[in-house]
Amino acid sequence: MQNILERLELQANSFQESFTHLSKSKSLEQLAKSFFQILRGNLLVTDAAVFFKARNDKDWKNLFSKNGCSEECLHYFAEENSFGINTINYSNFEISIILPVFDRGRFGILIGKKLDKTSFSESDRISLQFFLQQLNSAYQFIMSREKEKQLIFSLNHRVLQLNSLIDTGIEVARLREGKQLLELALERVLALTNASRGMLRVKQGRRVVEKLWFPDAIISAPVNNESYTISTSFKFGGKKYTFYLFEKESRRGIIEFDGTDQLLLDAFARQVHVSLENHYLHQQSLEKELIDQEISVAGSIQKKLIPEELPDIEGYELCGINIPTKFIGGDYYDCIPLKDGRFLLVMADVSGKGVAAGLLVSTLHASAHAYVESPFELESLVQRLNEVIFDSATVEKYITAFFALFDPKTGTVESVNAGHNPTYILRKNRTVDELKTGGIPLGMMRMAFPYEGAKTTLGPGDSVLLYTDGVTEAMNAAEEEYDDIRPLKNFLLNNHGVCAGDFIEGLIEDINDFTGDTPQSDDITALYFIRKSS
Amino acid sequence: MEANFKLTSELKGDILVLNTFGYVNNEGGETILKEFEKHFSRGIKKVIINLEQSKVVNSIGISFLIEVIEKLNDVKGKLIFTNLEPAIEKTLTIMGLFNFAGNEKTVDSAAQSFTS
Repeated sequence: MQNILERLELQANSFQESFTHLSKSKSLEQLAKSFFQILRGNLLVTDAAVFFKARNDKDWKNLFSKNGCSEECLHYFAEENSFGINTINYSNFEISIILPVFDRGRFGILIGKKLDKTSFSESDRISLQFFLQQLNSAYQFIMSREKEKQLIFSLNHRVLQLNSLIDTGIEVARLREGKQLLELALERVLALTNASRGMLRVKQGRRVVEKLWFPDAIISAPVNNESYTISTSFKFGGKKYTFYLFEKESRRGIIEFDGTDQLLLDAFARQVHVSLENHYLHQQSLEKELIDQEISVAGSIQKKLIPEELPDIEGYELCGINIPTKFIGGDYYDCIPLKDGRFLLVMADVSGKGVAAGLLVSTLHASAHAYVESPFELESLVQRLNEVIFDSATVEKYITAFFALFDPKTGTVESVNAGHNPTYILRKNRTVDELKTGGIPLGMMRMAFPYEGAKTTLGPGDSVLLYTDGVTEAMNAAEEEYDDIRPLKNFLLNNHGVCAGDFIEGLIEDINDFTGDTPQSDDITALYFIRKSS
Repeated sequence: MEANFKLTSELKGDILVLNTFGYVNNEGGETILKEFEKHFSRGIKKVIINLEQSKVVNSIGISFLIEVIEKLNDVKGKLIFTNLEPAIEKTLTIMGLFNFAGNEKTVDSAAQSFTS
């Protein structure tokens, strides 16, 4: 009894060791070899040959054969899909076995004669069945381990894809040079989809303006199979960017791309698109900043064209104001002292605002100051200024202007109104005259006939208001204009006798009261002067 | 067509140094494995793969590198990668290769780590 127990224990240990040995195998070939070693150790077999067929449509593969085995022995396994142990008499072999495994594969095994030349006993056959069961289990174990490895690899690869998508997004956002950015995106998406090659084509209309390949060495290589290609496109800045990926690699050869590959390619292309847009917007913002700085400087220069202080004229009070809506306004006023003691008063409004308007104001200012250095007639001066502005301005640009040649000693005022709002003269007796005589705005056309002038005299207590349409057309929230609701003439009459400074201050307050929170839509400019009562 | 991938190898004593050039993909990985196996069958167990001239590696290439690592681990050998671009270093880290292989800045420092 003790003897039997010892034998059984020995047998059990042997089975345990054999399974451990089998399951350590790293390949089917190694598994087959280990299986032979176990049979030889336990059953004293001289020879064995192990074949494997993965699926019905696959060929038998010889995993192990101690003394060689020709292909003719495969007929023992033909047409057999179920488990079976058969006695044969073929060459050195005595037993043939078909062992189906869990995944539709099957082993075909030939077992040679025993070393002692005895036949396999019933006990040997039972042991053999145990070892075959262990082979089956070890096969399952190896396959599971392999699948687990593949799963871990696949999960890591997914993490890598996501990580690279994020990293590449950050990296392409940092890159400023377009080609570098495109190359990086192409390399990354190529690696993550296992494409064997990739290309980026940039087209402008029908013309290809750029073509990048990775790897570089395959520039001249033809694409063998169009069905193994994925692509994605986007348009930006008048160009069409198309990414192409060719021939996805696997350990089994070239395979088709899957949905994830297309998603990744689309995502990378979107990142490149966004990055290109961001770079463009950043560049635009830098350029705008530069232009704003230049406009600000130009605005400061232009403000100097308008006199900071008006001349102190004995017997008169003067006050002026200019409130531009942009850095560079289109309104201009001036009071230029002449050598003969007279003054040239100018109130002008360029159509439009901004840099172009500012340039015309500068031209008017420089020309007026230059021409008054020599003796002149007012109508001729305006005629010359018209020609200068006409030559300087584009078709849609012109200047409405009012010019007054004013002699403080006598109070005479010669005027020319070049298409500007009428200038008001508030007489001491509370009547209002309008100075409208003149001609068309400056720069509108090169006229063949002269401007017409008007002449009047200011008596003590009379006052004059020059202004631009920014005053009369100041708008409230209901889109009503100031002059329609609160006629400027009324303001003038209601403020008769008020000093020049208070008059201007009151006028601006009244306009602000009228417009409320509505943003100022045009430059506001006004010049008021009074001949003091003696 | 010019090959996308090139490989040079040199023996520094009992250390095999493989220098790669280009895309480590299926073709690249297979070339590395074949060259490695040639020396492995002659008993080489210390291997350095210098990826200085490779800036892109795909997962098929990595699967061949893993095969090299497994074969070396079976015989208690070791593989060290050197001169890795940050993107490749991150790739190999995420794929778990540095759990079984080393990472050194230069070939010389890798060779030294074998002797120390």
